[in-house]
This record gives sequence, C-alpha cells and structure tokens, in this order.
Amino acid sequence: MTPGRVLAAGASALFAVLLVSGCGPTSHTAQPSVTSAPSQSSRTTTAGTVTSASENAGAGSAQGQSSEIAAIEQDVSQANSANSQVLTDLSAAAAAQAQNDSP
Amino acid sequence: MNRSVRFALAGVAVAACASVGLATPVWAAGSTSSTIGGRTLSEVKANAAAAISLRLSALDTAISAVNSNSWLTAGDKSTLLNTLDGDQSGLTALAPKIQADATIAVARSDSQSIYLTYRVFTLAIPQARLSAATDDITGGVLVRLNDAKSRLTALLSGSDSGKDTPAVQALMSDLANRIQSVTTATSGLSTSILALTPSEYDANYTVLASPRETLLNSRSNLIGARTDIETVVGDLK
Repeated sequence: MTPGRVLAAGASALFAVLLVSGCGPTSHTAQPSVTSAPSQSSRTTTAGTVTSASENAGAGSAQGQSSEIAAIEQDVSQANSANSQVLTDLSAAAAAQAQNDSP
Repeated sequence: MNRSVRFALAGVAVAACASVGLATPVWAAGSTSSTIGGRTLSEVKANAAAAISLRLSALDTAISAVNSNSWLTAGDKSTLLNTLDGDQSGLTALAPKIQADATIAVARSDSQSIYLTYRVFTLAIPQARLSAATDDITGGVLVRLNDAKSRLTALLSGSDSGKDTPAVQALMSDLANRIQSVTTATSGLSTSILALTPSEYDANYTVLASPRETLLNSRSNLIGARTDIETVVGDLK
C-alpha cells in the first residue's frame, strides 16, 4: 500500500468512527440546517460581543431570569448548528482524502 | 496559498523522485513508444480528462461550501477561495493542453501534474474543510458557549445564587475547562493548516493528521460543554 493509500484508508476509518461514535448531528438536541447562516441575536452586535446578564435590565427579576435562560438556550442552539458544520467539514475532508490522488 | 510556490515545489518533488530512482518513468520525454503501461495516447488523454473533471467537480463543491460557511473569517475565506479558484483555473487550462499533446510521453507527463501540482484531494480540499472546521469552532461554537457561560455565571451570582450548589459549581468548572482547552487547541490552527503546501504534503503524507485529531478532540469537548450548560439550565428552571 502506498503512503497515499495508507492515508486514504486512515481517512475512511476516521469517517466511519465519526459516524458510529455518536458524535454525529443526531446526538444534538436541536439541529438547524448546517448550511444556514447563524441568526445574529439582537443581544450581540458582533461575534464575541457579549452583553452580560448583569448588564441586562431586569436580570434580577423572574422575567429577567427567564429571558436569560432563553438567551442561553439560543446560544446552545446556535452552538449546535456550528458544531454540526464542524462535523460536515471534517467528514468532507476525510472523504476527499479517501480519493486516489496519485498518478 | 501562493500558487507559483505550489507549482515550483511540485516540480521539485517530481525531480527529487526521479533523482533517487523512485519513479523513473518509462514515458519520460523523448520516448517514442506508442503505448505506456499498455495505454495508448487516446487512453492517456481520456484518463486525464476524467481525472480533471472529477477534480473540477470536487472543487466546485468545496467552493460552494466555503462560500456558504457563515463562520469562516473573511481572511480565511479569501485565502481558501484563492487556492481553490486557482486550482480550478489551472486544471481548466491544463485539460485542453493535454488533449492537444501530440505524443504519449508529453501527454503522460502533463497528466502527472494533475496530481502532483494540485493535490486537490489530499491537500487542497482537506485544507479548505479543516480550516473551515476550525473557524466553525472559533467563530461559531466558542462564541456562543462563552456567551452562555457568562450568562450562567451572572445568574448564579445573582438571582439564582441559591441554586449554585456544589454539583452546579462542578459543572461550571468543567464547562470553563472545556472551553479553555478548545480555545487553546484551536488558536492559530487555521493559519497553520492554510500554510501547508503540496511539497510539505509530499514530504509528509500525514501532515494533516494532527490538525484533524485536534479538531475531533475539540468537537468532543464542545459537545461536553454543551451538555454542562444544558444540565445547569435544567437546574435553574
């Protein structure tokens, strides 16, 4: 087996592991389309800009707590979407490497 | 990636193989054989056309994926598209040249560059997808999980301080450790992946193994971090 084929075999094995390890999209609770753009929450202006709960008016009230929980759940949903895209990209890389690329 | 560098390095790699006798081709320039490896000129051309077509199609898919990826940084997206578009242009130009080659030796030599110059399947596309996966994490997952962590921390030190039990504290500690671990692991990773050249791949066929392993581990950590958040949120409700 040529080095290229060894690599291809490794990539195929990796892809198989990904599929059976429970790391796939089905392990997530909510799966937005991996191709859709992540919706930008009104609470964030740019990626990484966080409005902390303490800055959020009403955070100390029951309504504020509920609002924060909803925001956290939205974060988790968007993180799931991005993490699904990670799997898609890793799988695509492995699939490409499984192709014969030698003369 | 600098295309001229990739082309030049690929040529060096071919020369190096020939100089050590690893793959001295029977179809070297000057050969007057009508067949090489039992293949006629028309068969060599047909194989080359198929190989190029397969790569152009794969590059199309990769370019679409890069364009639709919302988490790629502008800089990485530009670098990736430059590489992938360059490969498409190069292969597109190579196709008619091979079809016009008059001798089997030249056609076969040109066919070699389909593989050695571009390394579409073993480097270019994996580079694009692994870089994208890195940005999916740094620009997507980590941003959201850090935001969630900040909000949980504020709630647990404020209105929900009464629910900040040792079990919850352990989950928050695990969450922080996972986020920090992934942040450290993926720092600069995309840049290092994008810097790889075909010659580096030819010198080390497993050059992408370590980045891939890092990304797999990171993804696993992020799933654990998400579970931590969901568990704490369940305790706060």
